[in-house]
Amino acid sequence: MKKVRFLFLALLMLFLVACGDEDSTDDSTSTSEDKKLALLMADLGNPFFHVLRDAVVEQAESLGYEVIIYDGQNDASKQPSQVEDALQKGVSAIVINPGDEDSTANALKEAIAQNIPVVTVDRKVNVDGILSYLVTDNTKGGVLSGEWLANKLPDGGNVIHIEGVMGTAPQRERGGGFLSVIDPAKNPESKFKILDTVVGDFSMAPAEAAMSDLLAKHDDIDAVFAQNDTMAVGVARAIETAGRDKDGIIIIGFDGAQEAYDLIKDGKMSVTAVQDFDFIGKEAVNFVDAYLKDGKKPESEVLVDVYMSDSK
Amino acid sequence: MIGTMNKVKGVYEKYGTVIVLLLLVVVISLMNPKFLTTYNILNIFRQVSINGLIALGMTFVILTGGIDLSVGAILGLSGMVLGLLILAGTPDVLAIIIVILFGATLGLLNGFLISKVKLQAFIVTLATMTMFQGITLIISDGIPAMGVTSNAKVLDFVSQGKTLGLPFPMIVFFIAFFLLYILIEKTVFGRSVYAVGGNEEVARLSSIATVKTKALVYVISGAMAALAGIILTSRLSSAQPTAGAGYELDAIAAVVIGGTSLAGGRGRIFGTLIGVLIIGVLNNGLNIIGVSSFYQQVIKGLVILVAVILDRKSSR
Repeated sequence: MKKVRFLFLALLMLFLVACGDEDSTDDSTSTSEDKKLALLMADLGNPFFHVLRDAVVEQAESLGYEVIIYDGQNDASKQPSQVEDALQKGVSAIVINPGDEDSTANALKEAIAQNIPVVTVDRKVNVDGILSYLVTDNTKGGVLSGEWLANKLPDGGNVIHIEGVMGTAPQRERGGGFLSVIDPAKNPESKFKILDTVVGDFSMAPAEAAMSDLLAKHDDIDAVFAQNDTMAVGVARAIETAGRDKDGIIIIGFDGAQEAYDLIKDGKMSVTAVQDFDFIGKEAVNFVDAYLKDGKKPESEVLVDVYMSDSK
Repeated sequence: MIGTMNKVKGVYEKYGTVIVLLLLVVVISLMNPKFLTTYNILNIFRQVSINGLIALGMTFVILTGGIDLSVGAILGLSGMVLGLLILAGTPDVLAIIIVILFGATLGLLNGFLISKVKLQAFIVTLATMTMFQGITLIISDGIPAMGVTSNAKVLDFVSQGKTLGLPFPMIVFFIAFFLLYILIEKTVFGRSVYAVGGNEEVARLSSIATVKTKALVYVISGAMAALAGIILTSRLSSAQPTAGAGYELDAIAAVVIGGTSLAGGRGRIFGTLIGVLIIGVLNNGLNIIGVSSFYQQVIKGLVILVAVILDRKSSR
């Protein structure tokens, strides 16, 4: 028994050393004169956010910053201690993609008190003194998706609406924008009918399952609006599995993810509302850089434009 | 009169959850006849096969008085390993075999820690769940493996093929059910599973290999979760880095609805089959009759409670 315990302890220490090594070699490659920028991501498990991360890193490194990346792993309660850790390391700027609007408020107050510029991206944090807040205009993206569909089917049709995680800002705003154009209850001129609304939690498996159910229920579906591309891919897969690909069901996604473009190319999906994470990431770095260099303050809230696209 | 009452009670004790299932089917199909179309019935079986496979393995674990919280994470990790193997050019049949053995190995790790090192099942599988989720993110770099079935014929058949007009995942589920039914009901190993769950000390004194039995149930659970991961990955034609999160809860619910006691030693694998179907029919049926998602959660919770309460009553 004692031997087993010792073995586990030894293994753990070995593992810590092995994992830690990477960081220390990273440190040694950077000079101590580098300005440090902390990037806190809500969830790097979502591949689409890698675009944001890469944009921030690229722009920051080209401006001479060393970037320290933190992953909140889809758990907003991890982020406050990551902010504290970043302050401990003496970062001169913080770019944060918060997991929710409140968890990091207190931790960020400390940064603001030290006159460290903080830019939040994709979601705001309820605290005073944030340099700027950059976010995709989700409502406009929803409206554009609706208008695109109305344009495509001038005589209207039957629509399925697949929602993301209920209660989140993108779910409310994308859905709200879309329904303001398509739902006859909100737009009396709409010739469309919302057949059903289901929740896909912004992920593929639940969206695929719900769509399989709805394909059993309806044989007159004209279009599906999925609030992100991951769910749109699940919807396309369900249609394929049900052998209904000849129905010509229009699928609209949201994000501009690679897998959506792949499906559009194969003719299995129609269009996606693109949020420009590359632009958002670079602009966030430009904001903190301009503030550090000249004390220049950007707009406190910047809505980044969305556009419809069917090819990358 | 008393005779009939006893008879009714007897029928009820044996088939209580079956009655809940039949009631659900009748009510839902009265509200929307589309529920009972061939397409939808096959659709339900195709969908329940994933939770079903996990729940079958979970039944063994719970019968020994244990719990396996890591099944969702094993599903996710196995699915990702499958996706990466296929995209790296591994022949699909070989990849499938590797992944099932891989899942069994992960289960063996749980089993070793629980039976040999004698740690609590809850905390061991909670810890390995977190580890397995992390490893999935590490090997995938958080990026889904896409287009997994595009060049893999066998895997494509797993997801969309039909045998005798039945979806292949459904067939896999029923074969697994049949084999595990034999294993638990007709073999020495099956009897030791019940004995260990009933009273481990007594089982040990009657020279049952308790350590081996307790380790093996986690191996079965891990292998079944990996099999479910193969089916989910082929169904989506992609391995998602966060797949399987929360699946353990649906599986545990199915086992408990099916009348297996969380204390171990008492229950039937047939009950799990019914529990799985109740959850599947409910998920599908609420969509078919168009219940809004907020109410769906409340109704699901209620049905689980009612099924468990009825089962408690009938087993007194």
